[in-house]
Amino acid sequence: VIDRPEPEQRAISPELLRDMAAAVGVVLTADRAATLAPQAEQHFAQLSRLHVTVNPSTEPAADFRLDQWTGQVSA
Amino acid sequence: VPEFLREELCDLPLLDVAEKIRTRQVSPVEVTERVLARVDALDATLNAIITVLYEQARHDAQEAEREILAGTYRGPLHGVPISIKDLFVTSGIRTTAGSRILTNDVPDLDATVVERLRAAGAIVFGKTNMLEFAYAAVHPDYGPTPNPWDLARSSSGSSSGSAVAVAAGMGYGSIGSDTGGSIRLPAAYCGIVGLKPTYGRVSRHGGISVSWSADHFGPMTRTAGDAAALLGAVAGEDPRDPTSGRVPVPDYVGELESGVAGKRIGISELYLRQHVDPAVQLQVDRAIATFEGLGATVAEITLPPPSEAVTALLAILMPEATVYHLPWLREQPENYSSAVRERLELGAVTPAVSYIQGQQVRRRIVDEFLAAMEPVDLLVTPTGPTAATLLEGDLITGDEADPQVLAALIHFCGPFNLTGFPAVSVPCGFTGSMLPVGMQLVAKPWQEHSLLAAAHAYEQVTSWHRQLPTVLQSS
Repeated sequence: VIDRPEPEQRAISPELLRDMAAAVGVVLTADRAATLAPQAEQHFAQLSRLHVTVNPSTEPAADFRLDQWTGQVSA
Repeated sequence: VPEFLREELCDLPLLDVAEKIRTRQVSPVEVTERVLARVDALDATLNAIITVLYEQARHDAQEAEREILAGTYRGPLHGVPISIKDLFVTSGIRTTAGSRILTNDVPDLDATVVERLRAAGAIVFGKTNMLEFAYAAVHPDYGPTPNPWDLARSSSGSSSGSAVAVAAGMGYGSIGSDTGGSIRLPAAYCGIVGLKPTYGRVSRHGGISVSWSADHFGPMTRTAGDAAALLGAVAGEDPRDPTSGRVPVPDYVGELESGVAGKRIGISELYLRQHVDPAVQLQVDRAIATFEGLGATVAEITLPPPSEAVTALLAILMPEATVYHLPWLREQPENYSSAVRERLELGAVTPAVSYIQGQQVRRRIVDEFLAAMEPVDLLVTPTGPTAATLLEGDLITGDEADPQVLAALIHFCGPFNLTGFPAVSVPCGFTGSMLPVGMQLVAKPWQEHSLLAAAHAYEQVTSWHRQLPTVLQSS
């Protein structure tokens, strides 16, 4: 575990959410974005904990193959 | 201790009815008709099955009967009625995933687990109700599946219909899916056995995905031995699943009697006493003492915090789910329940950086779990923080999309979806309100046989798994 402070969490505005969703082709109406904003705030706060626990040089588990990771692949 | 034990044909363990079929004491046709009659009698109340395959089940039962009479016996699933969660695609039979989006979808192929069940001679008689797309909310088109121990309570999810069907004697086993606890939590709530195998042990081909790297498929049964029989039928390498493990499949039923004497059981404070209802805690503590009485030794081990694992799991799971659903989320978002739509929208705004960080944490935590569990054979935890909650206001099946709530509910189960380690929920007692309690046993990768042997040994000295649910006591 890396001893690193959590980054400051910016407020998540409905407008920012709409733009982020639009970037992947998902349309959020103004009402939906306003409803989603409090959930998103909590979601991002939770995700920010990863900044503290991650060693940036760790190779990510891009290919999740437990048989190879545990050396148990059969011929 | 309750007085109602499972004795009717429909309520026997799978292995017991298999033996009756093998020795021709009962026929597959008779067993199938009894199960279909049980469905007809109970499912209006329990809402556990979305599609009952009357015609096909009767046809397959007759075929099984002909084969067995002709001297061809395929093994313990031959002629035995089994259900599948309605997210396994079935050729010519609609596969809804508990959703409005797929309500009339009829695939043209069978999932690998369906192929393998049929090859083993099982009678696939029904497709079970589930949370919408296995993503922790009931779609109003399908409705909740009440708990057979108390109809006012939840059966959890997402494999709720499978758990309820098995608990209520509507079939001898079911195949469910588990991305954060969706086999184990409903098994615990309903007083049955639910096994999430090692990631890669059971092919994911033909299963509608929540999260490619966290989805696991596995058996839900009334006993550990029954889970061994079902797992043996569906496990093994499949070239159609790129993450399928190239690891030999043991004879799970044959290894059931290996017991727990001399085994080392790990416990960890964070995985035993954090956020647990005292009524659940009491039963799990007693189960650990029972294992000691059977000759196991117990040792404290240090594991990565569950909250860290669950955060990484959600960072991976949520965007993977959104990517799978993206075309529907763009084109028909109104057809999702509000909770599932909100979770998918949150996945759409999850940064790629968080996803990659989740995968970095996954790699580190797998290594830490492998090291921490090296000196032990098993880990024991509660399956869930509580027994079944009231349907009204239920947090796992209701319309609450809050990821924090989801994280709390999967506190004990989620870490093993992140790591892929095998885990089984086993009935270990009841609360004062006669609600089942489940304990979770966890092993190192590919050691499902150790889990099942330990669960089987525990069942030999307890009777929790034999108790008849309240809905059957009054029928």
